[in-house]
Amino acid sequence: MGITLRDSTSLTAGANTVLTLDRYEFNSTTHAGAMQASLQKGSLAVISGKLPKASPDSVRFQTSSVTLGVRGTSFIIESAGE
Amino acid sequence: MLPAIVFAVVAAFALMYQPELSKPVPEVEVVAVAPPDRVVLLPDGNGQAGVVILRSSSGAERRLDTAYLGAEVARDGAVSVGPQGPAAVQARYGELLSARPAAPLSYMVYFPPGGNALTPDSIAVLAELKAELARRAVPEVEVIGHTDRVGRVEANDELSRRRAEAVKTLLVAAGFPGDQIQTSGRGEREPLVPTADEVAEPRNRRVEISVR
Repeated sequence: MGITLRDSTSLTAGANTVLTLDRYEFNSTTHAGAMQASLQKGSLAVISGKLPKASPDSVRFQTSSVTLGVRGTSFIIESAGE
Repeated sequence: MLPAIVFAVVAAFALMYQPELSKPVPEVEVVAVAPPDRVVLLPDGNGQAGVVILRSSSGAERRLDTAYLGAEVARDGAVSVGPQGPAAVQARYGELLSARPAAPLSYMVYFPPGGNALTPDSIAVLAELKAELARRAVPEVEVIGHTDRVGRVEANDELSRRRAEAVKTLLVAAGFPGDQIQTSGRGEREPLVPTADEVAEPRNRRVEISVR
């Protein structure tokens, strides 16, 4: 399943995925804001939106063993879980 | 004395040639190694890739900046980085990739200086947009207003929002549900054509409409 956030970030989750959106702020006029998401398990395809273009280092994805700082790109992150 | 030496030599050989099985079996603890977390960078629409900065739990830091460059991060934080290749990524994540939503369709309409009524050419674009909306089951529309750099930043924020609202009003008047339209105004922050301040530029007096 997939969702698109207000800054156009696209998140598509694979089967048996547990994802928490810990923080999401986006000002549609200035594009300032921040996003933090935790992947507990499963897989997630991400197409980043407008947030990282305006605020580098404002977008983070993490698992139990890695944290990703996203600077405007498309990627997949996968975690086997705890 | 000689028999004693012979005995010692024979004993030594006997010890050396002990068959493998007679040695005490070392106790091996079988530890299930958890699969690593994985990351792989994908190309954007133009085949380029952006940048992901990866920090592992042990503090290792790597930069991924090439399409199909991947990383595996073990539970202890050890990181290995290497190219994956499109075929390998497709094989592992094909289902996930095909579930991604299609890129939104984008339309652009333009405005006269200071105003929020569409230019004549833009009315045709709006007609195309309405036709596309009619074809879709549950479309969502994002409307973003912009201005050129004539006037104060705050006034342009306001003008850009009024332009976006004007487009929304036209769509609602055409029967499209207003709660499926998000509007925002970017003022003069995001010119299509960069100019000096106070320069009138028709291509920057615009509203972007994306449909998904």
